[in-house]
Amino acid sequence: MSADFWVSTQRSHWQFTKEQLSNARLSISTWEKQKFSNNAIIVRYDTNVRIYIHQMIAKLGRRLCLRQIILVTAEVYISRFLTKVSLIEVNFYMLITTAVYLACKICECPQHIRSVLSEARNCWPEFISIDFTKLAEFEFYLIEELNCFLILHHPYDSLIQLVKVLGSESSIEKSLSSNSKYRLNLTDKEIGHSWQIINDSYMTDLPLLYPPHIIAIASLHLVLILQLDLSDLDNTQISKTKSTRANSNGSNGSNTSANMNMNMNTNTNMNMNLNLNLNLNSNITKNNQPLISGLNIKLPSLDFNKQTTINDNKVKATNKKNISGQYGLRRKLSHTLRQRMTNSLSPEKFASSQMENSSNSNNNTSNIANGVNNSRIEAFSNFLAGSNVNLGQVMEAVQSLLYLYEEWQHYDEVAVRQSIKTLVMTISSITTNM
Amino acid sequence: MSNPQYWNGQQPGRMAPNNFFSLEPYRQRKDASRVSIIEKYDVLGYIAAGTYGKVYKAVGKQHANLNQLYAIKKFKSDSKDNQVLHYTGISQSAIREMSLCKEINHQNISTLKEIILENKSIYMVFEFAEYDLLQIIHYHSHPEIKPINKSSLKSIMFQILQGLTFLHENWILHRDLKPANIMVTQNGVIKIGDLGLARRFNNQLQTLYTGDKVVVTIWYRAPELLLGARHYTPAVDLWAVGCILAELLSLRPLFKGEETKMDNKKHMPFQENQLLKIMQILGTPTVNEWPTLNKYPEYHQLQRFTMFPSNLKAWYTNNGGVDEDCLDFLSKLLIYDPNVRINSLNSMSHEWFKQDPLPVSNIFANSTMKYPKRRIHKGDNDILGPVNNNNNNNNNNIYSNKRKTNLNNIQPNLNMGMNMNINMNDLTSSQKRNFASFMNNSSNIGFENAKRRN
Repeated sequence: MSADFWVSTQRSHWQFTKEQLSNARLSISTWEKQKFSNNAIIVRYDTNVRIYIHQMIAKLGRRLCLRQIILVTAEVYISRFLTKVSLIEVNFYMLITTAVYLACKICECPQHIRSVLSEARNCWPEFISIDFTKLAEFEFYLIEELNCFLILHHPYDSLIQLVKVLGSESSIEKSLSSNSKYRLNLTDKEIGHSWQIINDSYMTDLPLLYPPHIIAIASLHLVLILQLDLSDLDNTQISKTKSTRANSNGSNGSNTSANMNMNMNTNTNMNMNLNLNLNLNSNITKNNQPLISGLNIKLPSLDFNKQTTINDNKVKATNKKNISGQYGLRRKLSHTLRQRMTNSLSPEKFASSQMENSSNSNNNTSNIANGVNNSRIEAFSNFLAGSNVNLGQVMEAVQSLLYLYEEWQHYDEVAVRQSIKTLVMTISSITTNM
Repeated sequence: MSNPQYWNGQQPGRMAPNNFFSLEPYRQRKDASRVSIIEKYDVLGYIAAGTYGKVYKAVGKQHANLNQLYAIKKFKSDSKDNQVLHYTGISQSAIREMSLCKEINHQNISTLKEIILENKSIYMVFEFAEYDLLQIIHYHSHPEIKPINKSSLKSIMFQILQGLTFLHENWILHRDLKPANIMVTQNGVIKIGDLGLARRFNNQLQTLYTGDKVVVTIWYRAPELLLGARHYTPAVDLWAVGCILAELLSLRPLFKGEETKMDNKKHMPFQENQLLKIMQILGTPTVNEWPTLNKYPEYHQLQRFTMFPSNLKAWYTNNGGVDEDCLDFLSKLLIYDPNVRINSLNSMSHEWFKQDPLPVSNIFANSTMKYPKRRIHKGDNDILGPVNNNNNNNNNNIYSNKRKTNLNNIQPNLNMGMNMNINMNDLTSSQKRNFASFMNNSSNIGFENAKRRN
């Protein structure tokens, strides 16, 4: 139904288990190998390609002045389509154009087929023909492949509901959430960052795997626990957008890592203690919540063990190994967190980390601000524990997001563009020969 | 133009040629595996036609659906000459109906069985409903007036409201409720149909008015719409329900206004006559009873009218009504102020539905009426061919064309999936052109079709 995810076609027809999804992809790649002996042209539908798709949708969307919700709708259509169809069967850029054209209509902001086509031609002149009937034809096949299930449920609404329940600083929301027993006082910045993480989640399988509220919780979780409220992350995002806009090739990756390295250096200068790595950011922003302690608080309650002992620095030693200098900040975060996840998700390891907890508790360097953040995280944990949310799914969603950010470090736009160009040109020459 | 060798080389900045590929390998694979609609259904003939396309009656011929009856709605494709169809982009109306019908499932909404995309056309296969309210009202009023019995009347209203409540709870506005769009199955179950103007109203990226300048067939159009509301609410559907209730009582449309046609290039015309008809029965609206009245864009137009007193009770009595609860219910559906007008959920717990006779699940249960079945128009069973002559079918249609307002002409069903932002006037003129070309071609088209079949 269009107002209730639980009885929606998204849940009944387009939500996969991980196994189903990998089976679907496996059968596509098997088919590809049978069909085309020329492995060189096969483009794997990996995170790189998905980041590229995301950015190409955004590129077309900017030209048409489209709202974010339309762009992510298009992105879900593409994700769904590619669970059934191989990239080597269709014109990659026509797929993007068609998905955007269709998403505009579904979101009740229809664009004329000719204006969508002409903007797409401005974006990718080599790959989009002037014949609008091809776009209209593709629309038919796209809809058919989606089984005509076109109405989507996005995590943004879930995030707004979460904010209402958990409480926010914003005066507008305050009146709504005055009865909230959690009083998290989420800042606009935190909400904004969660929103951005949701935007990024469309580059992962999450929209195909989990209900929207899981994704919303995972993104809020990431923001709260990791305090992703980092100005350097903002910087990298800006530089990314810039480089995409200017079509500058590959400067993306280097920009990002440059930023990271700079931060890293400052970090090591300032804090010998790894635990305080993120205090760099607390100096820049107002938030100062040490990463590791945050994790400590969070994870026990996710396992329904309501350990409310706070400010323990677990397993610092193991972290030290992983977070050695050569990685970027984003990557470090992901490493740390995933380490913690795997530990806490298995009971024995969890128990052992509890022991370490107590032994390490002397090393605590807690401060007042820390306490404030901790109580917020505790409140968030209480909320999650009291809800019926599937915490295993939340954890998996968090991991997928971290994996995405980790992969993003290696994203090479030039390479992706080149391989897709080779693919599209080759298929085109084959089909025109037929 | 298309030298493959050339394309294997890297030629930066080159524009893609017209025949640059989009999905050929995929299309071949898909087309080879598709089961044709004519292998699944036997088309018996068409039962309705309009600017949207045609509705065919069909019977299932596969094991799973053997002898089941279906209504297959085929959206018209844009075809200039007879046979050469090409893709033009799916209309907003078709996209809405497809996406909403796929998503929702309720016993009082017409049941979609499947959607088939084939031969550049869209086929929506619905379960067949033998009657509709327009047909039933017509039967009761011709040749002499035979009032609809109370049990049927109340059951019809209750089931309409059940379906409508479901739509509203799912954030869907119907926006084209009228007797012709309320189907009734053989078993006396109401099915609200035609979601071609329906849309979701949560997360509006632009105002409802921006999306569609004109909604709801003129006789059933709520006063706030006539006054040019930019934002409106599900209350517009409740007004239409009120009009339907009155029509079931009196067997005539309650507010049978003349639609003012578009003349000025820029502006939507003010529907003076329709508003006049409303005020003649309900009285002139005042700021007192409708506080936001003076905020509406067309408020100043009200000065044109003389003051009318409210006459609804007299109208009700004149039409043989004696049930106070029914009158109260009707008056609550026809409250001017959309914020005060009863909503769909509350309306179902109105006192009227608690009094005998109680609403029943089969609206024919306490009726001895034998309604005629839908007439099937033979001669066009070629469901795969282009929909060609839908403008000259009214001669053999028992419902005069007057009953069908030109709403369908306003709906931008055609033309490249044209959006709804465009000037209504352009649309109408393009519709006119289409119409003209149809009139010129239709006889030829029919002839050619006949020849081809022979």
